[in-house]
Amino acid sequence: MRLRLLILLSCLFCACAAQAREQTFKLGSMQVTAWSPDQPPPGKLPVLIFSHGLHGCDVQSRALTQAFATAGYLVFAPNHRDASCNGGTTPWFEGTELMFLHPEQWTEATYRNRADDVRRLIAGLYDDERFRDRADWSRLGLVGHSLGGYTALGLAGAWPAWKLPGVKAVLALAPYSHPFTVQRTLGGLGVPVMYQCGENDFAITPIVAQAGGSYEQSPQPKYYVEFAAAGHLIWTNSDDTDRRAVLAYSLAFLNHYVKGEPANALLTQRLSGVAQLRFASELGNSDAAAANGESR
Amino acid sequence: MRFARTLQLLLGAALLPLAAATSAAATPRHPDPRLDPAAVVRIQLEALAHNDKPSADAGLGVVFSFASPGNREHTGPLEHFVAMIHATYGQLLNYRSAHLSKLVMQDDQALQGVELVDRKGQTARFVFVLSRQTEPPYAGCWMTDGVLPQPDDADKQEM
Repeated sequence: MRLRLLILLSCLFCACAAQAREQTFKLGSMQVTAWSPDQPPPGKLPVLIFSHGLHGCDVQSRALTQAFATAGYLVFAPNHRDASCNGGTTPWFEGTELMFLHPEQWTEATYRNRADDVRRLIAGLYDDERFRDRADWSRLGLVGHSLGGYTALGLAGAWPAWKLPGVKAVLALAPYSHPFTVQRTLGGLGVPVMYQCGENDFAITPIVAQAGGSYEQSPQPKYYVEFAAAGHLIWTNSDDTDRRAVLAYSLAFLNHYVKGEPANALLTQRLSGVAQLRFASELGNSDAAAANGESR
Repeated sequence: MRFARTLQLLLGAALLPLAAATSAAATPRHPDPRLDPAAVVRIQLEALAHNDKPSADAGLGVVFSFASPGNREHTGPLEHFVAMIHATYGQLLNYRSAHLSKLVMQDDQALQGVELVDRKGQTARFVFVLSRQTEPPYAGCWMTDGVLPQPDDADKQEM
């Protein structure tokens, strides 16, 4: 089994050894960065929308978005209004952060502008001659980090009024899911979800992983991967730790639920460097297995 | 080093001289109701800047003493806290310079943005989340509930 996993990992990384092309452009007033494979496979490509964290920006997770593209996705990342890098002009600390201490007060109006950005982005790309013939909109995935995770989860149905049709799966990276969790709206998720968290990210991880938290409230299929000794930024350029496992689990999830490839073993196997892996899907239920005394 | 000096020149007085701000002998280095949230952050930053003085990780000992009881539940005991900071938030240790944003306060909660130049010369941003405690033995003391790192667009990572 271990050998099979190693081979599987090698294949994932071979796929990423190719290059991705990065281009930044304006769509109306919104800055967007796109990544596409340098040597695209024939046919249209599945699409990923990446939503950055509060005061992050479109390229904040370049290593990840680039790797998604080399794995065969068209990846688009808007600069939301609160972006503070790569051209984003909002001061990185402005005090609005206080509202994060009161998730029970958040409503569908809170950061609605981020959801609107994603809608405008998709509408704009439909008409954009650079991408319209290359994008397969029937295979659309949402990826978000921190407040971008909030945005992606909201668009996947955690805020019913935000629900975006056509989404195949959501990859939520250290998501700020507190408002959905305390208001118990995650039952509205209509697509597979993978939560990824850092063991040392105490502002986020307990809310996602705890009994009755975001993971448990989410409908199946769902996955939870917790990376050992990781903080809030392992998915971003700000962290120089080797996080190949992050990419491996991300692609295992996206390739299965967005691309439609057969499930690979990683989705139910805990790699070294992973503190916790939970899943409840057509592939099994780790919690039930643990209750029965099985070990993975 | 050149980057840090340039930054100092650019920011001028906005760069808080942390050592000068916190070196007064009368300033307690443990939770105290007389310390306001900004002072609590400055004491911790000063300790982090000289983490290994007078002994290894002495600075983290000071920082841990200002961790709120709720924070300690997740991060303690001290040995675990020290290992966690080294593993995950090493940029805070022995940094070169720090710039504090305007403190934001509402009732018994406060946020302090900190932008620092780490020992390798790279900029890193953190938000200190503080609250005024209501229960003994820390009633009335401002303590840290968490320190949140903020992303930037500098490429330090490869996959």
